[in-house]
Parts: sequence; structure tokens; C-alpha cells
Amino acid sequence: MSEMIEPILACRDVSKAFGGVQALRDAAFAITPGRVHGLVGENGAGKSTLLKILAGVVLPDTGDIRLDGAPYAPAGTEGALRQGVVTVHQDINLIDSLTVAENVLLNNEPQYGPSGLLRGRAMRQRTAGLLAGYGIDIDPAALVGTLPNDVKKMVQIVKAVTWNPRVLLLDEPTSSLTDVEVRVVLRLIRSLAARGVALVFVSHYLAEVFEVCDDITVLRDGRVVASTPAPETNLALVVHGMLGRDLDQTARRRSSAVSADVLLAVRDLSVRGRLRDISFDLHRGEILGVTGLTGSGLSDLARAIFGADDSARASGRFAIDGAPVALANPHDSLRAGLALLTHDRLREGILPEFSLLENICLPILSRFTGRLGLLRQGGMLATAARCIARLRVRAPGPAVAAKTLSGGNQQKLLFAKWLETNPRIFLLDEPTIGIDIGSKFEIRQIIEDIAAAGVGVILFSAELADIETLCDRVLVMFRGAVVGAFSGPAITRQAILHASVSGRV
Amino acid sequence: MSATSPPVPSRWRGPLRQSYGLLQAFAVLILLVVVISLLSPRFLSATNITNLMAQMSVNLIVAAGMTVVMIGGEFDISVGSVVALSAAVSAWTMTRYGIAAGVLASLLIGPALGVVNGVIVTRGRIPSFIATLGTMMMARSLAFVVTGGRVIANLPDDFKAIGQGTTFGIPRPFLIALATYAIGWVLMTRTAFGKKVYAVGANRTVAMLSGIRADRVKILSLVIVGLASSFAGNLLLSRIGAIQADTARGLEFEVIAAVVIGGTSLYGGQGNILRTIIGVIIIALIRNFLNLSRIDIFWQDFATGAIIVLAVLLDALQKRIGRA
Repeated sequence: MSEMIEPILACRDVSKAFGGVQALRDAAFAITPGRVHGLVGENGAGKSTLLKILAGVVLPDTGDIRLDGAPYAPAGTEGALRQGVVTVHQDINLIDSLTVAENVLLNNEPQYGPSGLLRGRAMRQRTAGLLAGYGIDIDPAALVGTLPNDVKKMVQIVKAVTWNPRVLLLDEPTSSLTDVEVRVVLRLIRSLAARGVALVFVSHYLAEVFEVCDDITVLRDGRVVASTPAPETNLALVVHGMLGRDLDQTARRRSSAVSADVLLAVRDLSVRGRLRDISFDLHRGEILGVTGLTGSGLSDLARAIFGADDSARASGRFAIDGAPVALANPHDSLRAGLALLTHDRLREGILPEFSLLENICLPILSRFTGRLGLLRQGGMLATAARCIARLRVRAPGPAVAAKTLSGGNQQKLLFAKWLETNPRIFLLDEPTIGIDIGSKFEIRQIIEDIAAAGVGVILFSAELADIETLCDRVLVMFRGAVVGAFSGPAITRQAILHASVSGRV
Repeated sequence: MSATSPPVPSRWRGPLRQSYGLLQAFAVLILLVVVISLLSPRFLSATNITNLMAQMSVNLIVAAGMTVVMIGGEFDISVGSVVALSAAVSAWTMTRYGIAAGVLASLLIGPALGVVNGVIVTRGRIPSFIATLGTMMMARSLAFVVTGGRVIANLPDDFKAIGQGTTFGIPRPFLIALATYAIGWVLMTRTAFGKKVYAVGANRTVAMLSGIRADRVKILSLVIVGLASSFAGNLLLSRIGAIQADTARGLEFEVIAAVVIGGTSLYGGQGNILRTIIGVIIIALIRNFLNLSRIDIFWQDFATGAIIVLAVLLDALQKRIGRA
């Protein structure tokens, strides 16, 4: 038990607020050499804030943190690094065009005296020794860009190990990996623990947390709600802790408008390395939810159906009203009656410098092309004004630039744009992400209205509140595959979260 | 996302800002004219002004096409070679089969090379700067092949009358160039194609997701600059009355500089084709001033280069201030 050994890093009463948001309240957390400590919680529960405080990226407002019994207040990541607290970030931040050895020893290279010349062979030998020590069989001279993801992740972890960490903070180390790759990385984590490193394992994947961790701490709304050795808890308890007792019971909409005819049929849709054999039906007037953890493939599925990416699909067949369609690219998909609202509003949604009118009319320019190919300005203006009024976009007029609107109004602008294409099938990728509560409710109402008008809506969202209140049916994704389906009263947050984090119904 | 804008955006903000840029460019132009005429009395003479107009018309026409391409987020540095090749083909054909044959044959060259450039850029995913560098060298080489390294002269008088004549005392090439801008302005602001070019240049992904076939738009914009270059080649031929393969070397950079000075973003998505006129005039004025004041001709490119850097720096600075 952990009581037997002194913790190496311990915090008490740590609080941190960003603006008006209390990200962390009176958090207590302690980690012990030789043990892996799982840190779990929903998005926004405070995991990243705690991790950033330990890594020296963020200073806590109040609280006491001790490393080996001495007060610990690192000056930036550099300071944390020098005291042996090393972070492995979620993204794989290696340089593809350099070799494994060059990456591992970057900024830490053996040199010939003060000359600055690198000792190539020494670098390769040292890296080879490190890799062999963890039983990893890669050529130190291989280019990182040629390696698969799990190997890259291991190179990233080995790189962190060259700083001789006493504490290793792992932020979602398995989120970009496939099932098989996960096993390899978890083994590496165990072998680091066996060498006496204290590890923090932040992850949404609870099955993996239970597999690799000795202790588990659950955060909710910035508070530590449970902290126990792993054998003393279980998946159901942890999920319960993450959600809390008092779930807000928002009224579920009644799904009377759903028709029995299949509007869109998707069969055996796969994208290499991202999606596996996905099949489902969408009915007229239905809101079909597709949910899962970040990285489980929600956006990938939305984009694959729409043909959004240049890269070809591995396989998949589509039918609308029973007739096969190709949906090979966005142009074809729009013609077939699909629309896609992307989740990345700023990079893939609005054109910030363009007027509301230009944003709205972009997919339907051909409708306004008159004699000599000239655009009918009046028609465009009237259409834009009507859209803005219908969705209550708060803006002075259709001529202002889209960047002057708030996030919620930009999202309504995008709804207006796509609704104007008269879609029969509307793919919504995280439609309420990053917008204020008021706009969130307005957008939920808009989605219900769209479905009531007979449009088939697929709502891709990790936001369980949206899924629970809006959807007639819900598919749960896990690592690129659909692992569960729920409908009607079976749609509960507990059931969905359980399937999302474990990959099982 | 937090609101990054003032609470009450003015209805006039967009249009006002656009014309603000235009006014600013115009102010620089006026200032330049005043300074140059003070320093060099011969500048405002009728001969000098009409010469200046005739000389800048080739640049003007090519720059109109280049503005379209650059708003779409690409470059075409083959334009100088295409001007030379088109003029050479036109002259060669004309001296054998007549004016119409020469003009028509040469007007196919730019668009054809535009298709080649466009396909390399979009299908091959090659940066346009590199792709058109290749066609630039090939077209220049073909120009030497066509002329056999000699000057082709003896063009029909009817053809030369177009480039050498005046209407209401204004050189005809200049009037033709202005007409090109009228067409370009309508194309870019009043047609679906124009809107698509802006959208593709601003954000290719957003444009694609909106059903715009971005590759076609890019190819077509490279065809347009090709057509403009071929047309400008004919105008040049008509004005000079003779052609050699080495003509219009370095034209591409002078034209790109003019487009940038005219306020078109180097990254695409933003720009105003009419402001390009001011950019071309500014560069022509500076060259003219250097000529008049008898500054060593070898310093001319130095001055033009310095002005390009200055213009781009000012533009970047302004954007940074605007954002802060």
C-alpha cells in the first residue's frame, strides 16, 4: 500500500481560477515512487490544470506543493525539468525529418568539447542503449517520420526519460493509438514504474487506467471526489464519481416526427487507421447521436460521410432513399442533399474577413448567377437578411465581417449558411462547442426545428448533455468503431459514458 | 471563444476600411507625383506622361491577371516568359499568315501554359512558385527557338497602329489596359467565379466544404493570367514593332511587386484589383524618376527591390497594429 512509502510529490489545498472559472478547488494529490497514479475526470474537471501546475506551466492561486518534503514552486517547465518533473504531452511533438537518436537527444546532444560539433556515433550508441534498456527494438538512425504512431509515442517517452525524471507526467499518452499500440505503451509505463519513477497517467480511457494504474484520483468540477488504490474501486464507482450524483435532468424531446423510411444508409465505412466497418441507418426527421471520447473518431466519421478530405476512403457504400450514391467529395455531397457543420469553427467554418452575406452565399452562388454570369446582388442581400433574421443572428447587417460576431452568433451564421442549401441530411460536428450557455440552448432549439421539418440530423458530439437531451438514437464510438447503440429511454449519461470509456456496452 | 470585437460593429466598417486602403494608396501616389515633379521638372511634360502611360500598359495588363492568381493564393512567375513567347509566336505567324492568324495563335499560348501550370500545382501539389519557375524557363527557351535568336520585325502597319496610336491624345495601349481592369473588376466582384477565387485564397478547406471545386478555380485563375500575358505580349509587339526572345525578362517580379504594393495579400484571400493599378503606377513612376534624374541604370533594380521590401513591411506592420 502507498502508505508504506513517503510520497515524492504531494499537494494540499491547491486552487486555481481562470477569469471567473474556478478550475481547481482545494485539491489534494500525492504520488509515490514506483507507482502509476491515474487522474480521471470529464472535460473541464481540472485534470489539465492540475497537470500544468505540477509541470510548472501554471502557478496555483493558493496551496502547498512539496517535492521530497521541500516546497516546490518551479519557475516554468525548465525549472520543473531541472527538479526531475518531466511531462510527456498528448501530441507527439517529435521532428519527423530527424532520426530517432537526434530526436531523443535533441538539445541534450553529446558534443566534441566546446566546438559544438555533434558526436554522431556517440548519439546513436547512447540512444540504442536507452531503447534496449526498455526492450524497444528500433534503429536509432531511423527517421522518426517513417515510424508508426506507437513507436513514436515510445520514442517521445524515452526522450522524456533522458532527463532522468523522478516524476513523469503522462497526458493522454494513448489517445492517438490503436488497440494493439496501446498494449506496447502500457508495458513501457509499467517498466518505468518498476525502476522507481513516480508516474501520473491522465486518461479518458478508464479500462486502460484500471489496467496500468496503482492508484486512481477522480476529479469533478475542480474538486477531488475520490482518491484510492485501484483495487479498492471499480469502473462503475469511478464513472459515478466523474458524473456526480445530481445530474441535471433536462427534459428529453419527444421523438414523434421520426419516420420509418430510411433516408441515409451507411455500410461498411472504413478509413485506414481511423474508422473500422461502420454501418448504420438514418431516418427522416431523426436526430441520430454519435458520441464517444475525444479521438474516438467522431469528426473522422462526419468527414468521411461528407467526403470532406482529399484522401480516399478505404471502403464504404452509401444510399439515399435506397438509391446508391457516391458522396466522393463535398461538391457531390452537397448536390446529394448533405451539409456538414465542422467542429473547428475558426479554421474550417467561417471566413472571418468575409461579410455575413458572402459567408452565407458561398455554397449557393450558382443560384444567384444571372445573365452574362453576373451575380444578382439584390437576391443575395435578401437571402442573407432573411437567414440572419430567421436564426436570430445578432449582427448589425449582412455587410459586416463575420469576425465581428461572438462565437455563438458565428455558429448561428454557419447554421444559416448550411440550412440555406436545403439539406436533407445535416451532419453536425460538435455544434455547441465553445459557445456560451444562452447560444447553446438556442442552437439546441434550432436542431430540434430542423429535425421536425423532416431533415435527418446526425449529431456528432462528445457533449453528453446535448446527446442526452436531443437524440432519438445514439451510437457510441470507441477507437474508430461503433461499439454500442442506445435508443429512447435507454439513452442515459451513465450508460453512454460507460460504453465510451470502456469500449463495451 | 471570447468576443474579439468591439460590442457594436458599425455597419460601415467593412466598406470604409476598404476605401481607406484605396485612399491611402492614392495619397502615396499623389505624394510621389508631387515629389518627383519638384525634383525633376521634365517629369510633368506631355511627352513624358504619354510615354509613361504607353510603357506601363503591358505591366498593367499582366498585373491584372496576377492579382486574380494572388487573391486565389498562388503565384505565376512564368508571365514574363509567356509575354515574350506570345509576342514571338505572334510575330512569326503574322509575318507569314497575316495579323488575325498571328494574334489568335499567340492568344492560345498563355491559356495553354496556364492549364499546364494549374494541373502541376493542383494535381501534383507543387507550390506554384516552383511549378511556374519550370514553365518560365521552358517558355523562355521556346521563345528563343521561335525567333531563332534574331529580332523579328517587318510587322504589318495595321498591327503597329494599335500599339503606337493615340485616342484623345492618350496612348491606346493604356486605354486598352484600363478596359482590362474594368473587366477584371466585374469578374472579381460581380461574378461567382470572383467570389470563389477570394474564398479559395482565404481558406481552401472552407471553400471545398462549401462545394467549391478549388482545383478548378486555381487552374482557371492561372489560365486567366496566361491569357492576360499573351494579350500583353501582343500589345508589346504592336507598340515596339519588333520582338526578340529576351524581351520582358524580370517582368514577373515587377508585376508581383506592383500587386503587393497595391495591397493584395501575399497569402491570398484579400485584395482589390483596382488598387493594383496604383501599385503598377508607383513602380513605373519610380523607374521613370530614376531615368530622368540620370541615376546609373544599374541602380534601378536596387531601388525597385528596396521599395518592394518597404511596401511589404509597411503592410505587415499595419496588419499587426490593426490586430492589436
